[in-house]
Order: sequence, then structure tokens, then C-alpha cells
Amino acid sequence: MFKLIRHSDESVSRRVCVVGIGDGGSRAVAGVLGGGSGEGCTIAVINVDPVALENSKAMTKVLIGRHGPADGGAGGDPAVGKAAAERDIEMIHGLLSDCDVLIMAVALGGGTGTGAAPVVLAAAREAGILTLVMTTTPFAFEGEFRNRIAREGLQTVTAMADFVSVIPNDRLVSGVGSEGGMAALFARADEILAAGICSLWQMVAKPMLIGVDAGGLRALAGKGSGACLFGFGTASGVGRGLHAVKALLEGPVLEKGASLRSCGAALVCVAGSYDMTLHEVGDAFSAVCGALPADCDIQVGTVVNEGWDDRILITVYVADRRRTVTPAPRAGGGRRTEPAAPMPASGSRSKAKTAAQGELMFDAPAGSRGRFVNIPATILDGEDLDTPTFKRRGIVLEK
Amino acid sequence: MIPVVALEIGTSKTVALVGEMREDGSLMITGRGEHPSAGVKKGEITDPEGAANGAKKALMDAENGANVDINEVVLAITGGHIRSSVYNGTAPVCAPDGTICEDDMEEVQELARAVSLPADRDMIHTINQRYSVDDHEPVENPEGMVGAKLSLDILGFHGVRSILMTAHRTVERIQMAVQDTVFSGLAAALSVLTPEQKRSGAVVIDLGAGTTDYVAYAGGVIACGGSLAVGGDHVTNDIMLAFNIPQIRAEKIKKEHGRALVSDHVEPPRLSLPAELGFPVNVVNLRSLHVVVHARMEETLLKIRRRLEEVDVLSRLGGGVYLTGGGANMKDITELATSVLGVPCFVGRPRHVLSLKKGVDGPEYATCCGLLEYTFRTRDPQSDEPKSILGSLMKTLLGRR
Repeated sequence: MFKLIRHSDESVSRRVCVVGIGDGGSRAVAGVLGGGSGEGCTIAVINVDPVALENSKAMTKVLIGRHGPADGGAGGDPAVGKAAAERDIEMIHGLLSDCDVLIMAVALGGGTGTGAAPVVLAAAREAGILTLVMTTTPFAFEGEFRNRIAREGLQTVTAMADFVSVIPNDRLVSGVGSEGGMAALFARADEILAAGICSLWQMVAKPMLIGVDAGGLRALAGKGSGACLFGFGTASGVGRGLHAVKALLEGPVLEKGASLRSCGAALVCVAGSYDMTLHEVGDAFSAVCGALPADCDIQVGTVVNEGWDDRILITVYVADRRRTVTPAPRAGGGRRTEPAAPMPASGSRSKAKTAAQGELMFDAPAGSRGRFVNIPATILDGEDLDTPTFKRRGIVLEK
Repeated sequence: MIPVVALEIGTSKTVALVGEMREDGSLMITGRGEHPSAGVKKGEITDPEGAANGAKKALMDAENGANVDINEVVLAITGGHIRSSVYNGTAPVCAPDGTICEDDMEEVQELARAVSLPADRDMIHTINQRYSVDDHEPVENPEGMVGAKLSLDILGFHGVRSILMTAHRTVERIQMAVQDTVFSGLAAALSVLTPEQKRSGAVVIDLGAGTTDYVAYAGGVIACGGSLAVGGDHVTNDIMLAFNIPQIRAEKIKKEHGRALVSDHVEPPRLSLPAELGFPVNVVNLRSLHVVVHARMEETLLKIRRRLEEVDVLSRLGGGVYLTGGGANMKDITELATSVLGVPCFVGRPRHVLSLKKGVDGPEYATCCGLLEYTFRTRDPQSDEPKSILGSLMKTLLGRR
């Protein structure tokens, strides 16, 4: 079931604001700048740490929480990050004053990003701005405390943003061999986050040959049960199309393609330099779509990036299947349990375990949670009990 | 006896009670303070400052009523993070002739209590269940029996440290010391169950605003307990979303018109909510209201049933099920619970409570009265100090005195 979305010929381009919040988010945004894809949009970083801001290459720097409890750092406490953002909400309003789309990068688990992100999202929503969020969750070795903060943060962000994609950093551990040190691991995490921002930006800001747009992203978000997983592959030179596919399918974030085999809906985007051929695009699509289940709802898009030279980038966002959600993991263990695998339709690969990480998926479409919108969901036996029982049971009420 | 102050920072309201234990074992409530809670969600404190303000006001009222200076409190703890597990301690009997003495019993008790919890959890209570000698039938007191090996099962209640610490810090914010913390469900059970009910098996389900807590006595011991982060707030939220009305109105019609069972004929069939400034007139179909409430309450009770079935408690209940907390005041709730759980269910009220003021024996005061009960019963009557050894506490909890 391919859905080719007709590209609408709008010449008015959207004003995009890319914002990195906290240290991780700021580094990722800097990565976008380094990649040379930052033209035509505002790139900003928000942080409580003036030194980190000083070192950032971003055009706009917003220092929050000065002279408050967060002065110089949030100390890993989201409440401090939140308070700092609320304190300087005027600056955030100013930052968002002339944009249509907000692309936010935040590495969850710390104080500044996790705390300030919901405040920025709320401000953006108030202003009617489309909100797209790329997040990472901490490595398991960063400890249960940070992971718990990240889980709760992700829930809040998922409930508030139009589209949320998450990169579970812990999956990168298997991708970096023993030769790669800590620095390499974190650099890789920043790089992936940057690639995600870049691809979102292309989708919303660039005219696409085969278009997916913000509506497509929102639809994808609505099909799954929460945050979408993100994976990408890039290559250049001879055979770059297939190399990029290979990099995507063998990458650790999608668990060597296992995440694709169990997903319910996906959005595939191929971006390339001006010399990208139809063949390359076709081959890339068929290779990626071949890895997806037959009954998967697929959207595809391509975009040409004039700024690039001999390069192809394939990005995939996958939403899990609804109703295969497992409860949040019990606190304690570093590794999380995998939810029961929904059977993929493709027979030969049916042994593949699902990649959806239980704690990352929340069956919580915004608007059905009422007053429980900003607190951790009560998930028992795979159901989000904050959603009214009568809604979950499909009871129709008499008027 | 020195009066004790109980503090429950609940999701909807904060209650402080000052109580004294009388010679005849009844509880005299000399001071009471209540204040709507702020900054508490699903039983956990999310805004210490807001929660502390409510606690301060409640404590001040209680202080004035009882005419005492309060500087330490017994605090109720709840939240979906609280779990119970059974731990075992086993050791060879010391004496060469195999006669079990008190030292053996203390040793297995220590072994059983020396469990390693996950790094982020702290133990709240450890309660002895039964001893067994050489894997024979469990016994209450093995002292003097002969065997090679003694083992003991204990039930531990534990919770997430950061959440427990937040509760402590909140109380310390208002310059109060925390004398002890008690799991709300356990306190409610202590307050409403008679020794006979504890012996023959009984369950107490505390239907709070933020959480639903439960504790089950079966086979003469506390078999399990815990908390679900679902409560009356969820009912209110469901009503809010079902009829698109503001929270305050939803809460009001829940209390005035909510029913846990759905009947075919409701008189009047519809309820018109008067227009308020800024809100349009709403018409609520009362039958639909009952459907919404019923769906939520039934689901919550089914979740509890599932937890109780895990340890096979329901088949061993001679004493029935007692509902406490604000939710126990809902119409038809005992009927619904009886049909869901398949055992007789009643509203549980604090026992032996005397007060000059009315209403302290309502089911919503069970937890707070239980905190007082817990403290007096674990305290040595002579020295007024808490008893050192757990055995006496265990006896109290199990209703043997």
C-alpha cells in the first residue's frame, strides 16, 4: 500500500526554527550547522550554562535561568530546568515569534533539556506553531535515575508535540565496537540526532519531488502509540544508494532492521544531491519497503538538496503497532524487557523480535488524558489507565 | 500517654489528626485539621512547596484543636510504586539437640530482612508471616520445637527511594520531624479490621483520590498489599472528558450523582447544570454518567482482583472485603465490589474512635486513624518509646492482641 502524496506547489516556504535545548540538544544542533544544511532557517540553542552557549556555533543563543537556582547548570533536575525556562518565557516567546515550524532537539534525561522542553513546546503550541521533536534517551549505563527522568520527559513531550521521534541511545552501544571509546559513543549519538533534525527540516522546508509533509508526520504519529523510532543511512560515491540502504538496515538504532519488520506504519524519505537518479531512488525505496511488513502503512518522499555534493541520505520513521504496548518497566533493572512480538506478516522473517521498546511507547494520544496530561501515565497490563475506561472499551454514551 | 500526630498528604486533601490512646484501647481524637492538597498527583508529591503549605495548615488546625505543640508526625505513604514481596530466611538450628530458641528465630528474621532490593528502592515495612521447621507445615511460634532447619517468610513493602524521600523532605520543610512512615493501605487495614477478621482472612481496599491501595490478610498473615495509581481523580477525569465539563463540576456531579451500578430507570433522566460565568449550560444524561463511573470502578476493582488472585487470596476470605477512603462513600460501590470480587464487601470504618467532632469515623479517615493505631500499638506502653523488636509489631498487625 504505497501512498504517493502529491506535492503541492507552494512557493511560500515555511519559516523553520531549529532549537537545541540543553547540552545534548545544543551539540546536535551544532552538528546540523557542521553538516552545512542550516541555510534558510533560524538555528537556536537554549541552555542554562553560559559557557556551553558561548562555545556553540548557533546563530541565536538563549540563556535561561540566569540569577535563578539554575544559574550555571540545572544539576540534573528537570524542575530546575523547567523553572528556568518559565522564568525566561519572554525570551522563548521572542525566539518563536516569527516561525511556523519548530524543530526541537533534546537529549532527555538531564535537567535543562527535559525540564525546559515542555515549556518551550507549550509556548509554541500557544502560538499555533507546528512542533516536531527529535529526542534521545540515555544510555543504560547512565543509570536508572536519568532513565526514569527521560521516560517521564518523553511522555510529557509526546503528549505535547505534534510529532516526536526517539533514538534510544542504548542501542548504539551494540553499534560501536570495543575500539570506540565513550567519546565516540556520545559523538555518534549527537550525529544521529543531528541527522534526524536535518531530515525533519528537509521534509518541512524543502520543496519535495515526491512529497511527505508535516501532515504526513502527524498522521504517522497518530498511527502509532507514541513516539516514533528513527533510523538513517547515508553514503556517497559509486553505489551510494545501496550503501545507504545497507547502512540504514544494519544500523543499531533500528536494531539491524528488526524495528522495521515489526512496525505498523512508516515514513521513508530519500534525500540526495542534485545528481541523484531515479534508479537510485527507486532501488532505495524498494529495498527499504521490502524490509517493512506487507500490511504496513507506508509513506514515501524524496527531496533534492542543492547544497550537497554526491550524497544520498535515507531516513525512516517508524511507528509501532497500537495495542501491542507493554507496561513501563519495573524500576531497577538496567535492561528493559522487550514486549511480546506481534507477528510480522512476512513469513520467512517471522522470528524477528519486535524492536519497539516498551517504555518508549505510550498509548496516549493527546487530548484523551485530560488532567493527567503532564504526569507519568498509569500503565497496567499494557493499558494506559489514564485514558477513560469508557473510551478504551468503546462504550457509546447516550446523549 | 503522649499524643501522636498522624499526617496524610492525600491527592485530594491533607488530613492531620492528633490522637491519644485510652486505657480501654479506644482512640481519642483530640485535634483534627483538613486542607485541600496541592501538588500531589496519584498519591505522589509533585510540588513539595504546595504540598507542604497544605500540610502546614492542616497541622495548625489540628494543633489548635488539641491544644498541643506539634513537632513530629507519623506520615502516610502511598503511590503506584509501592509493592510487596515475600522474602525467605533459612538457617540451621544452633542447639546440638535441635531445640529452637529465640536466637534462631532472630537469626532467620535477620536473614529474611537482609534482602537486596533494586538500587532505587527502600524497604518501608517488613512483617513476619510464618515460620516453618524442616519444611513442615508453617507455624506461628516455633520456639521449643525441635528440628534441623528453621525458615521464615516475611512480607516486605517497598517503594521508590526518591519518592519516599520527597515525602520526608516535604514534611521537613515545615520544620516537622517524621517519626515514622506507614503505607496507607496498611494503616487503613489496621484501623478497620477486627482481630477476628484478620485471623479469618480479610481485604481492605482504600479507594483514594489518587491511588487505590489494598492489603490482604489470609491464612492468618498479611499475604500481600500494594497500590494502583488509579483513583477517584480518574473517575472525575472520565466524567470531565465524557461530558466536556470543567473539573470542578465533574467532581461535584460525581459526588452528588455518581453511582457505581447502572440501572435502567434513572429519575430524573437528565441533569441540567446551571450556567456559570464562562461556562455554557450542560445537560448530563445521568444514565451515561453511571455508565462512565461504573466502567472505571469496575475496571479498578478487576485490577485489584487480579492482584489478589496472584496470591490466591480471594478463596481464603472469611472476613470479607472492606472498602475505605473517599470512594467508599460512592453509591452502590459495595454492591459492585461484591459482584466483581465474588465475596461480601462492606464499607470499612475506623474502629474504637472517639471524638468530640462528628465524622471522624467515616471511611475516608481510616488511613489517618490507622496511622495513630499503628504508632500506639508498636509503642511500648511503659516507656512510651517504640518497641525495638519486630515481633510485637507483627503480633499487633496480625491481631493477636
